[in-house]
Amino acid sequence: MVSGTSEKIDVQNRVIDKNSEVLLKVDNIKMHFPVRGGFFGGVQGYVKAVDGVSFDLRKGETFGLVGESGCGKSTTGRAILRLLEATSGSVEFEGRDIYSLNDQELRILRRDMQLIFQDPYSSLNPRLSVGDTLSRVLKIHGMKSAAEREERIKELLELVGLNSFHMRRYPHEFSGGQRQRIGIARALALNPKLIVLDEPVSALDVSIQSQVVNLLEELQDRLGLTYLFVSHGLNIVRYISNRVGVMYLGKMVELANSNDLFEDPKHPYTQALISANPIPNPRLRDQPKIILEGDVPSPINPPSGCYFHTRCPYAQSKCREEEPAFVKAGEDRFVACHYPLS
Amino acid sequence: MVTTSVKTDTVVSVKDLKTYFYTEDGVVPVIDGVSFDVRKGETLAIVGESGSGKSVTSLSIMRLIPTPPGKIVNGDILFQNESLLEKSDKEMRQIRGNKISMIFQEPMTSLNPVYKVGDQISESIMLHQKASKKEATAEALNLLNLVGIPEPERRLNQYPHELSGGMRQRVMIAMALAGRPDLLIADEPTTALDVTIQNQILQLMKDLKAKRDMSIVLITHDLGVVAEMADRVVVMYGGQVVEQGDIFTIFEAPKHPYTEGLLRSMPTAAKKNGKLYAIEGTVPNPLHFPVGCRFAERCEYAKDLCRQEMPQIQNLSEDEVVRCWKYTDRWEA
Repeated sequence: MVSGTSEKIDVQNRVIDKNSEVLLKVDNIKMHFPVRGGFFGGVQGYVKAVDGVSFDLRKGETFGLVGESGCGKSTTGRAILRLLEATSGSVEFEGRDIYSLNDQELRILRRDMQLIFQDPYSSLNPRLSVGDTLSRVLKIHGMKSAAEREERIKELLELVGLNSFHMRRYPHEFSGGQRQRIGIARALALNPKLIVLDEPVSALDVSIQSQVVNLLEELQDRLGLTYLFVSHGLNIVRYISNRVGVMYLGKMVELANSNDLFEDPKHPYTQALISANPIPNPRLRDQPKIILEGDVPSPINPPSGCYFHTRCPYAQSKCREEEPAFVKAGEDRFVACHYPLS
Repeated sequence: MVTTSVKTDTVVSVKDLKTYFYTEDGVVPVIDGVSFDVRKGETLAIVGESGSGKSVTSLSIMRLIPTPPGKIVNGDILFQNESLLEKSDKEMRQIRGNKISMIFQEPMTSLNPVYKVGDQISESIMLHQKASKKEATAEALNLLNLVGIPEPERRLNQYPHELSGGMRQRVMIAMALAGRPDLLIADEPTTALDVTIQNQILQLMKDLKAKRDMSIVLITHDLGVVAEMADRVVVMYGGQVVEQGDIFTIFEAPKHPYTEGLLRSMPTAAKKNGKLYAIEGTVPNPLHFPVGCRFAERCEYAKDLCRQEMPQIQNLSEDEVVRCWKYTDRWEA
């Protein structure tokens, strides 16, 4: 293993040491869901929700995963936690293949890998007080003493900016932002190393979003967490991520440092996505925009060749016939395009 | 050419509107003294967080407040100089769809799943204009063309579930335009859509506004969408208008501390000490609004005065309105 993890990550410039230790290695995972139908309910085809995605997560970084609905970003997030069983491919966490673990080993590993959801209201049990919700997590994972658990719960609530008296309250008594803090406290209960955040601020009001984003960054610094930040919100992904992967129709089309990706996209889809993103500056509104025609094709019958060719303004005949490989396109960046932008 | 008339021509004038909801827990002043004008041919954005009253404002204009529990208790809404509050239900039905149309966030819930798209559009045409079934179908086809739906003939015979989210929103827009409205109210029209599709719909709304010479009231929480679309902006907080101004003033020289905070907390804004600016605290509970300024407990500038007395809305210039003690004589005193 390469050393260099002790080096402080420069969040301001979003530079993560390239040699930083790899925490999680995703290798060509595929997640195909069968589509049943017809008289006998036989398998008619497959929804290729994730279709061969590879990337690394480096210790202490925030990796942003962006794309439009149905691109497979959330499914990828769940497959790497083995909350969904990938159809093929491998996921290594600290060098161990998580798909080779048995149930008990997996349960122990789960302490290291947690998930935070978009809507904290539907992911919290309305009948349990916040204290009970957190207490269950601790109990299941072996914290037997009630006094010890209570101590830990108080500590967790304070860590996420709530108070210890909040433990007696129920989810409906909290605002959206506070509920997301509870979701974060639950994810932190077992001292994880990796947290997958699935649209963690998308349901929150603008003024609350920034509070939660600041909390997430603060916790990352204090606890040395690694984040996989899944979101369709480009502004927030650009802000929080060290590196960003862009997905389209189950494939990763581009991966680069956040600044490189947003300043100088290589894939036409990334370029169109950035161009379509409304900038909160009315002086820029008359700038020409790339407007993609049509909708994302169905993942049951994806197009031939490059999946993006049906909407790509630069598509040529090769793009219709041959699928581009995901190849190195410069320092620490990858792109899947026959004719990357320069 | 039309610049002078645009300024003076008011389509809708909302005057000191109060819409209260009478609930078991008490009276909720969801809209509490809101005034603004919509001018001919402009896009007016109403911005605010959940619970600020922006959607109830638009439902009040449409007279679609569920009564009970809701009730318009004060003020007036003038549409082309006639009070909408004095209209009978029958007259309102004539106005809705013909003069004022509305599109919503989730097109799937506003389309009837068991009728074909073409039938739903032609029904609204036949309801509002004296057209035969055949004429209505022809007009439906025109409208689908207008909103940029590919293969419109085929779409006429499809059901809503067969269309994508972006297509459904286009169908909703087509229906809303069927009566050639003077005012289109769009309540978070692109919030449920992906960014590349959102872009298509926003461009479409811009084009149609110009083609049909409509005014648009755009309700949104997304400042990016506001910057893209609006001519003027109304900022709401706690059921009140806290600031109103033209798009450039709002983004470049906001007056109200809440507007300023919203803009500073955008992830595209400059970082301070490596942190994103955050407005601390949460929106006040409308059942227990404070006596003073409703933003005071979250405001960086708040003084005792702000907590004790509600600031009144005042004009800073012809086009600029703010509700904040900072801009009064009593601030320095």
